[in-house]
Parts: sequence; structure tokens; C-alpha cells
Amino acid sequence: MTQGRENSRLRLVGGSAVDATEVETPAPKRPARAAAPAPASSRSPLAALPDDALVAMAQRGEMSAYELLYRRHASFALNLAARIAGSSHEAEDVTHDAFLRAFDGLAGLRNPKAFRSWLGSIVVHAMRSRLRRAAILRFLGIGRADPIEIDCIASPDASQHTRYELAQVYALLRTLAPADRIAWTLRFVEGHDLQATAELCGCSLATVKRRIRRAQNHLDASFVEARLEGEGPPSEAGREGREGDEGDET
Amino acid sequence: MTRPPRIRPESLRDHAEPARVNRVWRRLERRLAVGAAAGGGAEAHGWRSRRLLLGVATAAVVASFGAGIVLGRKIESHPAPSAAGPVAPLEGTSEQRPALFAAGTLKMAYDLPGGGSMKVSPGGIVERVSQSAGGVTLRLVRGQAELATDGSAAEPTRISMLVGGASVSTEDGVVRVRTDGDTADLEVLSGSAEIASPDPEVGLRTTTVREHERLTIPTRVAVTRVPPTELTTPPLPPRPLPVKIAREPVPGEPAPTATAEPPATWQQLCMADDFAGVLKQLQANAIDIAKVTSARDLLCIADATRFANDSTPRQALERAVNDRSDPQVASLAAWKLAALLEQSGEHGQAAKYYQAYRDLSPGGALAEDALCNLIEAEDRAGHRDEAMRLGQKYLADHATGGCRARVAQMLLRLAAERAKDDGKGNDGAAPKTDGSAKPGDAPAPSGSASQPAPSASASASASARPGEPPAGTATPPKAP
Repeated sequence: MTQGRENSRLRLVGGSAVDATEVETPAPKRPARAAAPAPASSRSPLAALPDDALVAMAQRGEMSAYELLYRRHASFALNLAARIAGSSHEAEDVTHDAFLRAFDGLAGLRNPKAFRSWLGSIVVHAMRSRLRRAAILRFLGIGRADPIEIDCIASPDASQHTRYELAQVYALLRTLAPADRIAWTLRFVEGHDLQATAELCGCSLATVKRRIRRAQNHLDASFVEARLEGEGPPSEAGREGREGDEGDET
Repeated sequence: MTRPPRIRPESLRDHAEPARVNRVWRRLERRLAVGAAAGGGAEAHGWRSRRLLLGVATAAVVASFGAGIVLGRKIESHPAPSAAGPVAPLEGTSEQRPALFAAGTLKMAYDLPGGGSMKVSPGGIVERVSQSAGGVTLRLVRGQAELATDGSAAEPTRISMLVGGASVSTEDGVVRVRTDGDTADLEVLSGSAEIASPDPEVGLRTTTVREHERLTIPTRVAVTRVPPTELTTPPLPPRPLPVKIAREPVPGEPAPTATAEPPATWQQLCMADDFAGVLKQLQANAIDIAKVTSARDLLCIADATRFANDSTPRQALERAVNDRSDPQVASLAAWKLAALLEQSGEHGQAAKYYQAYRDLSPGGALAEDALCNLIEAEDRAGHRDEAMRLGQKYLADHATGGCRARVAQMLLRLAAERAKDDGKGNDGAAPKTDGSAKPGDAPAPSGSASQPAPSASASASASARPGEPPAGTATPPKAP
């Protein structure tokens, strides 16, 4: 299984490298219907267990382990899906499908410590498929662009200025190829390092750098600093840029 | 070319609301339980049958996709008259979920709620203000948008577009609206549109514009500045200091550390909007302006000028302009200083700093705006020849410039004034009526110089086409 081979290279997103020792795990058993869904809250003693231990328990069919894994990583998956899409409409469905696929494929996970990264790559793959499908539909004249629901992207606490800047960034991202858009989003919206971005995208470091640079060039050429009514000078945020990131793109 | 700003995690919405997390878990739990009921022994068989099902489903999807395309094309080529009335209001959700329509580098087309459509030109941003059964109200934040009503609808729906203090409404047409902040250029491509624009005398001036007519209207009127002593707004509470956190912590990993450096006292005062305090710090020489490299800090200094009648902050900005070690900071300071000087009526000085901005940042995002403002500042300062020279240069260099209409009108007016002055200077003889001003000397109004020059309020009426150069060049603009 290709996914399984890739998993062996995955590490925790943005974290330190994990032990690459492959762990042979038995085939997962489905949780028994009789197993009542135990409320796996943070007070549960299982909550302190690391991912690999929970994965091992889930492989034995313990529903509480499934739930703990879900609750631990649901926020990551939901936000990842929503920020790639630029809307929250599909985030729930994508998260649901990604967890289902991850739980189904626990047997193929050779490095249980990398569950989070693996889940992330499933979400990214699902989003890329959806974005490509939407682009094809628009190309055929069937799909129609939706307005950018800025409330789905920006925090309610964000300033009006920031909201317009975010709206413009997402409007520009929409005109990019899905692969470039995803790579840039993972790097600069989600804040993953290049290695983690490459792993989430399922491509090499060189490829992901190329994609990010292509997206960045497009944004640099097209972005216009927001100047709302009554504002005079350009914003400080626009001046800040991301000088610190230029080095690692090359 | 401008680099997009860094997206801070705190600016983004957190989508992992507990209700949503629980909702997804309930769905998952059901699926997991169903899978368990199917049984582990039957799992291999389940996979095979699932693959078969997947194949059948894929074939069905491809077939229905193709059929859908054929059907869609057929429907699109023979649109049936719509019997549906206007769409019902969004059950009070429009306020909670304001939509934003934007275009990056490509023109984007959107279906409007309630009927009709809108095309947003590259760089344009439009937001939905409200929606009711009678129509939809939008606001053009910047750029250009084209509104089109749904001609096939049983009942006409009204589409309104707010541009600053002005508004454009249509029930039966296609209207193109473009704004540069101070004015809006309107063009009715078909049907008609009603325009309401702010007017200092009558409050709101309404006009109906017919097909193929163009109009430039002001979008705001001048506001009288309130002296700082009359300010009654209570001081704002201090804002929390920004702390940059790289990303959400991963379980089992040490928590990320805050990387913010403690700001200086005057920067804390800036954050608390305590401009009087900033001013005191400046006066006490507690701020080394040469070391101020942050645009936010410069803006704070500029705000201190706005809120207090003291020349110290202005001097600080002047120093920032003159010390050109960092062109970005210097150009920003020049822009801010020019705007402040213009507000205080020192148009000559304002022109000087707009020019400084252009010198420091010739390809900057505000270079064209700076030239527009420079022309107007020169005009207000009474430097007619310079204003006309720059105006002609602007029209020649910026074929699709945002303030062509304003500049063309200004040139018309200045040309008429010059013709009048020339007439007075000619021993009291009648003004020239043959339009025989020297070709490179100054533009003359089209037709004859005896035609009255457009007044300042003429901008609210149908104006010269923004794309046309002023009189005196190859094709003179139409007189209003």
C-alpha cells in the first residue's frame, strides 16, 4: 500500500523526528457493538497515553482509544481542512472521512507515533481531490465560485484590516493550482516547517519548495495592500513581509 | 509588487468548536459501530464487495457526470422562464455571516442571493451588507464590479451597491462601478440606475443614469476636524501586548515559548492609544527617532500629531523622511506627513512630501495615488502650471488610472481659469473665444474658451469620460 510506505517516513508535524523503528502491529479489530462508548475525556487515565499506545489499543478494538485519538487530533484535522478550503462547509465531512479512513487503515500504520502526520496527509489528500474536482467543474462551466465567507477564515477578534487582507490572500490562492495552494497554505497559514509540509503533501522537499515559491511569486505579484476608507498609509503588516522565511525556500 | 502580510495564528478562526467536534464524533461512532456489527470474520469478504461496489459506483458517477454535462448544456442553451419569485431572506443569518466577494488575478463571477449576478474585476473586493426579499445591498470596498439584474425573473429584484457615502441601485440593467476611494466611476451598460451621492449643500443628490451614460460622483464629503480639546471619547483601555505563538502545541511536546520582546515605554503608550503620553515622551527626547524602524511606531507618532497640536511629532516624521537609510520607512513617513500637511491646509508642503514619496518609492503600491494627490496639492497650493504639467503627465502615463476623471476635470477648470486670466491680461479685451491658446502652453476647454468652467460641484453630474485626455491634447474631453 503506497500510503503505508509513505507513512514510514512521516513524523509529527512540526515536532521533533520520531523513532523510525517500524512496529509490526496486528490487524485491527473493529470495536464490539457491546462496548459502550466510554466518555473519553481528559480526566480519563488513558488521556495521558501517547499516540502509539492509543493506536495499539485501537488496533485491539477499544472504542475509548478511538475516541481519545479522535478528540486529541480533531482540532488539527478540522482546522487543516477548513484552512485549505478557505471555508468550513466541507471541513466536517473531510474530517469524518479522514478519521474513518485512518481508523480503517490502522493496520497499515507502521509507525504509530506518526498518527498525527498520517492523519494530516489523509486530510490533505482529500482536500486536494476536492479542490481539483471543483476546478474541473468550473472549467466545464458547471461549478460557480462561492463568495469568500470571511467569517469562516478570520477570527472574530481579527481587525477589519486583517480580515480584508486575509480575504484577498484567499482570493488569490483560489486562482492557484490546488497543489501549489495547499503547499503554501500548509507552510504559511498552518505554519508547518518545510519537511513536514513535504510529508503532508506526499512529495519531495524540492517539489514542495518549488510549489511554495510558485505560489509566493504569484501572491507577491498580485497582492495589493488593503487600504480601507479613511486609511492613508500602507499597513505595517504588509511591510513586515516574511523576510525570515525567504532563506528556507531556496 | 507587495508581499502579503504574515498570517498570524490568532487572526484565524478556530474551527474546532466543541459542538462540531462532538457532532463529527457521533457520526464516526455510528460508522465504527456499524463496522463492528459487520464482523471481523466477514472483513475480507467485505473488502472485496466494497471494491466491487466502488467500481460500480465509479462507473455510475462517470455516466451521470457525462449525462449531467449534456443536460446542463442543453438547459443553458434553452433557459426556461423562471417562475420562482425572489429568494426569501436568509432567516436572519445575513448579519451573522457577512459574505465577501473578491477576485485575485482573475475576474470572478458570482450569482447574487435573490437573483442577478456580479463580476468582480481582479483586485476587487465587495461585501454583502444586507439582503431582503426586495433585493440585496452590497458594498464596493475597492476595485471594480459589474452588477447585472436577472432579466428573466418574474419580479424585478433591486441590487444596490454602496460606495463610500454614495449608492447605486438598479432593477433592470447592468452597471459597472469603480472606485478609487474618493470618487466612484459609474457606467450603465444597459437599462438604468439610480445614483445617490453625498453633497455638502443638499446632503444627498440623486440622479438617474440611462443606458451608455457615464458618471463620476464623490463618495464622501469633507469632515470638519475636531480640535483635540473637544474630544469627548474616553481613553481606550490598554490593549494586551501581542505575543507570537508559532502554532498550536502538540501533545507531549514542550509548549512553545513566547517570542515577544518587551516594548519600550512609549511603545506601550502607543498600544494604549495614549497619544498625549507619546507626545510627552517625544518632547522629553525619550524616543530616538533614528532608531524607529517599525511602521507601526511611525504611525503612532503620526497619530500623536493628529491628536495633539504640537509640532514635535511632525518634526520626527520629517527626520524620518530626511534620514533615508531605510527607504521603506522614509517613504511611509513621507506619505503620512504629506497627508497630515494636506489636512492642515499646507498644500505646498504636502506636495513636497508627496513628491518625496514618489522619489523614495517610484514603483510603490501608492505611487499612482501619490501622483494624484500631488497634482491636487499643487492645484490647491495655487501652482497652476505645475499642476497642469503633472496632470498632463498623469493622463499620458496612466491610461487606466483611477483618478483620470478627477485630473481631467481639474485640467479643464485650470485651462478655463488660465484662458480667463489671459483675457483679463489682454488690456481688458474680451477673453479669447477661438480656443487659440498656444498648443503646448495649456489645455483649453473644448468648444470655446468662453464656455463656463465646470464648478467644483460638477463632479456630481455627468462628467467627461475618465479615459479621455484633457483639451489641448489630441482629443479634448467633452464638456460636462
